[in-house]
Amino acid sequence: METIIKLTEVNKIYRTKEIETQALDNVNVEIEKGSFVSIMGPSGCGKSTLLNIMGLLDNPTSGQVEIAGVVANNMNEKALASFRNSTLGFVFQSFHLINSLSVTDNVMLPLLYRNMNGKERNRLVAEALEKVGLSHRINHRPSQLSGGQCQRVAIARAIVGSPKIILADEPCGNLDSKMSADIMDLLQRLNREHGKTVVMVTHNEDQARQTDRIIRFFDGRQVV
Amino acid sequence: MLKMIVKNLWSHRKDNGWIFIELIIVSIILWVLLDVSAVYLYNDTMSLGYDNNQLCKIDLVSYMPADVKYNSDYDSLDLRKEHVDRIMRKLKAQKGVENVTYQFTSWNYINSESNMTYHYISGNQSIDSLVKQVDVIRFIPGNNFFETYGMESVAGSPSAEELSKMDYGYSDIIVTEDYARRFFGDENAVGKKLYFINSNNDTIWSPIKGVLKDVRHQQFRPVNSLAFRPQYDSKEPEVTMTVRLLPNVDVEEFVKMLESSEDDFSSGNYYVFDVCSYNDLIRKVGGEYEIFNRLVFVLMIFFMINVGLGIMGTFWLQTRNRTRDAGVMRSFGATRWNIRKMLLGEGVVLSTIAVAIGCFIYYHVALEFPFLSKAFAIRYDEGFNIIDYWVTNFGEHFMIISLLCYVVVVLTVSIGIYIPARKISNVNPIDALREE
Repeated sequence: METIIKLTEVNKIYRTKEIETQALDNVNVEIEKGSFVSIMGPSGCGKSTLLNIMGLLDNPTSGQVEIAGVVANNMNEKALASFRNSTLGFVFQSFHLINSLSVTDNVMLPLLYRNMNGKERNRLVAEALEKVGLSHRINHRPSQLSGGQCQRVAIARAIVGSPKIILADEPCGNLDSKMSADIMDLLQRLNREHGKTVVMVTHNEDQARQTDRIIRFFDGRQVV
Repeated sequence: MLKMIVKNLWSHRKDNGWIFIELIIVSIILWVLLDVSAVYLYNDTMSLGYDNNQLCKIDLVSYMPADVKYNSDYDSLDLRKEHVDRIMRKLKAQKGVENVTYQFTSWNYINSESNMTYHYISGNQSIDSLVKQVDVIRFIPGNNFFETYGMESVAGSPSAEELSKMDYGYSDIIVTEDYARRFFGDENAVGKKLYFINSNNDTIWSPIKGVLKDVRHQQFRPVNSLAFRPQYDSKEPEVTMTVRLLPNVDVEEFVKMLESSEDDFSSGNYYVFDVCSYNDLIRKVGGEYEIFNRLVFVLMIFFMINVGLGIMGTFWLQTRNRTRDAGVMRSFGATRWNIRKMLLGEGVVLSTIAVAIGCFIYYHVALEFPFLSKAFAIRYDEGFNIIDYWVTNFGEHFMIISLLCYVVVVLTVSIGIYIPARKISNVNPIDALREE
């Protein structure tokens, strides 16, 4: 199987004046293309830090990050932004939708940074919303939607630009069990039917078991 | 991007509404203040049309019959002229003096506060459409009047020296190019005629003998139409004498010298009443207006600083509140510049609409209440035909000041946005997403 995410000897140290915290300690992770992987571990073990580094939202203190065959360590800001836009899609625990924008505009956000005409954008947004089952809510605001619907919008936003990888940071963390099940179904469908590589951080053992592979973390280290 | 900007503005309409109203009010007030300042600055930098630097003015006054020093033997018109000529010759003989001229008047000289107006009419056109008011200044032929002031004639007209020496009939006139243009479309007016109706209802024809380049009669006004009429004698007891000094002569020193030897320049019933340099005269005459203008200018600066800080503060707060949005955008591929561009774009669009509405409102209010347009855009047009330069051409003027107003508002708003926009776009996306 082809490796799509490869982290080699990645360390992340947060330094303040008084203390130094090692969030990731010599982490080596390889994730195959088209797999659905969950990262589990107690709070503060470095799961989200790892996901942020995989998503190129944060830099490791040392080590190499290779995403879709590209070593990201030395990329400049513009190249990073463009790479994130084309290759990665994020789903956050608290959705991070822009409340002042409609569902359509929220989903369209990643496409605004691409050279694309309005018609094409609208088509892709409609497709993405259809995949998440929210075609009837296009003009609603996030405040008019339930938590589960908000997370569907967030997933539509993550997939609208056809990224190879979806990074989901506790996507069901703020949802009840029924909504969580819906979201898990959706992520699985994206993985199986659309071939997306999904990396999900979760605290929930049941949800983790639904994925192809579980990477466990403790105190910044991968636990075998 | 523009669509997204408009959508963002609309979706934040509750917050933006107040800023929008504020920007409209600011635009209107700014328009008024910028207008006054622009007119003031423009007038201040305009050429006077004559060389004032080496000029000084001497007021001669005649003793009156009740005065002890009055001598009735000197009071005939011929003798009065002879004594004035004698003083002129004495002045001319002074070291450093280049030219001297005089007028039989103490109130209607170049840069005096007073003025005398005539209505001239074009003979071969309809009277209604071609009655033009003009400010008239009297000069004594053969007296170096035009070259002493350093005026210049236009091409095709006799030179200033020739105009000073020429023989004139009672109603002959010399006009400035602005006045010529008003009647004839261009400055080629020599040999053409105008007429006026005198107090006896007689039609008096006035052949145009020369055309001079535009001259500002009063420093605090812009260029206005001038006509020069010959004057051979006068019963007025006062004379204004104008002296041009050579370029290397200190005018202030010369004025001091005259003040200390006033008695040497008395002749017949005439004595020196006052001496001053033309620069002092201009300062004195324009002083009152200058204080007003400077006050407005200072007010404008004060207003602009305060409003600028207010606008910047408002936008600063609003922009800072969007840190989380910036984090979301960066997560999905926006660069720092994309975020700054979007926030700046919002400010520019909002300012553009607000300034357009503000200027539109001002335009209609100014038309509705003429005191506004009179007070500002054409504030000097009280009873005068003023040359059509941009300050008095309302349409052109309106566009220029509106554009200036737009630039100031957009710049202020952009600064108010750019600094916090730069800050939030530089925040790490992870930290930005933690902001609530």
